[in-house]
Parts: sequence; structure tokens; C-alpha cells
Amino acid sequence: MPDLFMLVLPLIIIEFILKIIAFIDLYRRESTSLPKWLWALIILFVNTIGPILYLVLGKQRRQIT
Amino acid sequence: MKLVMIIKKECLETFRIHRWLWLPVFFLLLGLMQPLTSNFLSDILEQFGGLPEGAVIEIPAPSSEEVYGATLGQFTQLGTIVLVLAFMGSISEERRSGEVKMLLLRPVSYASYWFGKFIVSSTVMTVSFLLGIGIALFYIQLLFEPILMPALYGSLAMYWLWMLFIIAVTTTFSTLIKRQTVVAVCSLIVVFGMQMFASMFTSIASWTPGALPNLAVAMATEEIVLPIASTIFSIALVAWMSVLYMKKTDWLY
Repeated sequence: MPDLFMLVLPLIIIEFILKIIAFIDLYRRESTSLPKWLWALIILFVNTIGPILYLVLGKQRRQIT
Repeated sequence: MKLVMIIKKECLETFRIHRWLWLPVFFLLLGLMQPLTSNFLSDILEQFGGLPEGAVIEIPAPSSEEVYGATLGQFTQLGTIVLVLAFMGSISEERRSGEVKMLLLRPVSYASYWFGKFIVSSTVMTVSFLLGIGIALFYIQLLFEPILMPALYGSLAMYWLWMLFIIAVTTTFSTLIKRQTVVAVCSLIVVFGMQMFASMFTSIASWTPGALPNLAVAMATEEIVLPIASTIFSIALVAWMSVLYMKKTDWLY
């Protein structure tokens, strides 16, 4: 039986990458759909779903006229 | 050539909104969690189940086929929802914001626009699906026994076709309706509805596309020609319908 830590390690790495990418995107974006500090909290504390929610819903809708 | 242009533009867009990243990652996590929880179920119950002191539970170790089926079950529930949410805006959002007008001013046909979208969406889906199921199989052969290969290929192909069908339905609704939420709700109702219909009335609905996920979970090798054929036919039908709809109505406005 392989070590439990080694089994869960990919999970942690994926989680970490997701959070970093979401934070970089949040930092670069001028305006988001919710206040920035709220998104930062969501990304930080809601695991997995938080960063994905940000990447899906975070951007402000644009309008071309 | 026009198709290639649309595909290139769409790929760029997909990278820009990080869809290339989070969809594969989500499926990766789905595929990873199921074998792990199946394996450590008794430990988890002991730790967090709130069982009385000294309670003894015997959970028989699931077979690797059962774990594989459970993983596909996760894909069918959460995976479907996430796929629909990821691609609900693929056309409707561009139509709402007016980007299509800029794009279709150039001599690009509706058909190549639609198929460009569809091809890129299905590519993202395929990569995500392969990653997710790949890591699930890796963990299954690590924690349980390896699965027999020949039946597996058929099952994977059937499941992939079902997900292609989900993409086709979502893209079609995205063509018809401007509001993203309505697109998502309609697509989810159609997809889950077909699937529930097929699993409730197995005798009369065994040939419909909705039967595919159940066949894939059961790793069936018989009576799979009809559902596969009907799924391919339905995908072609909805594609043709949406292109026709774009041509026949004042779609740009």
C-alpha cells in the first residue's frame, strides 16, 4: 500500500496551481464582477470551487457597440 | 481556411479566459477523488462519521470495475454541469456583446463559425476527459486491481461520444438563446432528461443517446450499435438545425 501522503500530493499540487493562477488573474484584471477583496477571500478559503468560480464568473461583461 | 481562422481565434479566447486550465483541472480532481474516497471509505467513516464507540463496520472492498463505474457516475453528475456551465456562453455571449457582428462582417460562413466553436469546445472536453479518466485509472490500478483493457476502450469511446453530445446540445442552445442562464438550464434539462428517460424506461429507450452513459458504466459490449448511431445522428441533426436557424432568421440582431 503506497503512502497516504504521496497519494494526496497531486491533489494539493493541483489545488495550489489553481489558486496561484486565479490570484495572478485577479491581480492583473482592472475590474471584476464582485469587489476584488471578496474574490480574494473566495479564492483563498473556498477550496477548488473558489478559484474555478472566479475564473468562470469573475470577469466583467464587456459590451461592443 | 475560414474554419482554421475561427478555430485559431477561438483557441486564443479559450486561453485568455483560462478555460484550458480550469476544465482539465476540474476533471482531474473528479477522477482523483473517487478512487481515493472508495479506498479510504472505512477510515473516513471512522474519523468523521460520528459513530458510537466500538461500532464495527465491515465495508467490503469494491472491485476496480465498481470504482471505475463510480468515477464515470461522478463525471455524469458534476462533469455534465461543469461542461454545460463552461460552454453555455460560447456563442450566446458573443452574440449578446455584439462580437459576432464584427466577426461575421468578414466572409465567414455561419457553418464554419458554428463548427469552429464546436471543434474547439470538443477538443477542450476531450483533453479534460482523458486527463480525468487517466488519473482515475492510474489510481485504480495503484489501489485496486487493473481493469481489463478491451472492454475499457469501448466504454471510454461510448462515454466520450455522450460528452460530445452534451457539447453539441449546449452549443445549439447557445445559438438559439441569448441569455446564458437560460442556455444552461435548457441544456441541463435536455441532457439529464434524456438520461433519466433512458434509465427509467430501459425497454423502449435503449436505443436513445441517453442510454450511452449507463452502457459505459456497465462496460457493455452488446446492443451498443443503435445508441451510438442515434447519438451520432442527433449530433449531426442539432448541428444542421443550428446552422439553418442562423441562416433563416435575423440572427445577428
